[in-house]
Amino acid sequence: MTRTHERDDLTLAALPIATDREAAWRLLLDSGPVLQMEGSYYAVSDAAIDEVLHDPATFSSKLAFDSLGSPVPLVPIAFDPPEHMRYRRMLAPFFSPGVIGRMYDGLRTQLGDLIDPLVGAGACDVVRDLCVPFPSQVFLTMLGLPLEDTERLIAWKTAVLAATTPGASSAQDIEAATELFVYLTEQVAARRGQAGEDLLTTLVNDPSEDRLSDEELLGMGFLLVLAGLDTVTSTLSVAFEELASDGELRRRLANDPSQIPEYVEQLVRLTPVATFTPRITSCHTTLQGKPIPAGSTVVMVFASANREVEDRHWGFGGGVHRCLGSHLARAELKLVLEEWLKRIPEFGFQEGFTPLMKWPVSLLGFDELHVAYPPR
Amino acid sequence: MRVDVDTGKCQGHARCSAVAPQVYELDDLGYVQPMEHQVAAGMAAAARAGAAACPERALTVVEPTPPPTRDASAVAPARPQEQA
Repeated sequence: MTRTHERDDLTLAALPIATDREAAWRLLLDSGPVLQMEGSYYAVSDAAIDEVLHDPATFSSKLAFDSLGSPVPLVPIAFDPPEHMRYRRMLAPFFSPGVIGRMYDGLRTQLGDLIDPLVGAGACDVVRDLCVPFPSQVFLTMLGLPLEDTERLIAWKTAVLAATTPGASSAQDIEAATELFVYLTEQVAARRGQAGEDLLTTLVNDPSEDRLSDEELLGMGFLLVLAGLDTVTSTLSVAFEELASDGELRRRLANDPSQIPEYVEQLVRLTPVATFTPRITSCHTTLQGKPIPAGSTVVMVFASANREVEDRHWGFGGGVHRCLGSHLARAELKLVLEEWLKRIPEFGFQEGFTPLMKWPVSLLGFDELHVAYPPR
Repeated sequence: MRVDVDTGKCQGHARCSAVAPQVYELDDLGYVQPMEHQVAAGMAAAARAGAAACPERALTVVEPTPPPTRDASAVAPARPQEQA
């Protein structure tokens, strides 16, 4: 019996993500390990994704991200080994578990400042008031930029993300992307010759021959904006939707915060927000035995593969491009949930509000979540 | 038992040490350290859980070989091993 891989009947838009995510991801998994939809190949099983991630020469990230047409090199995701290793070697020290661990106290203080004003109100849009600003503040903190720039950064990143979505960009978005570009350029220039331990000051003043050029630094800044803000925002929004809907879960985590890290891990496993992660084949190849021509787009669907195995997952990708910010992301998710539940252990959706997961989108999440709780 | 650590495959997910910090040590960047010694008897379950948490398949648990027995039927598999 031959397995049918071509699913003419399936389209991304038709997947029941908003109503039944579990069924949608399993539908893809059951059609795998590799299927064709709308001109692209989809790697949906654990073994297929293992194959793609561990052959970066064939399944190229560079080819996939070059097609975004960024004016600066998107360091490091738009590079394959061996060039890619140089970037990772420079960036990895800023994102290690130990370095991230030392940021906890400062981030907790920032979270208190964000959440405390919400407590008395008895209601908020937790996406707008917490899930959006916090990751932007963390980005500014890492790069050594002032927190007063949070509002501007949020406006820019929204436009930059729109500008990188084919067919969705406007002249205004391009203008805002240019403003971010100018802002980062000025910050790079201002840090030259200055002392400081933040990522930007350190890399600008790197004395080694191998140091990043200004263009590479800008590209890195752009990529950190693209990869590090809305991913955390979206994951947080999914967590808050689950907590607002599920009283047993909410009380369990509020009463025993030591269970939060495992909840976060399962959240990332079952709802990896980077829904579709692309590669482009550099040559004719096979994937799980299926022939794939050169120049094909191969999309990894981590959410499907992560449902095959329980104790490990590809929620942060894998191989040489394993999410550089994964330890930071885990920390952000854990700290937000701890600090929120400490102050607001009981909450639900505001009357008349029904959360809606938009689809199709590149990042799964909720744009707004209006929650209510007993004011204190 | 011991764990074969393939540091070439490790990509720094750090899940092994999150699941079994008493077994797996990380370097400064969050990559697993090579392990020369045997896993202490009381830590076998943790070592297995930590290895299973690695998405890169960088950790292989090597169980001790059972002592030789004279009864061949006792070691022959009763039925074909199922592929995991």
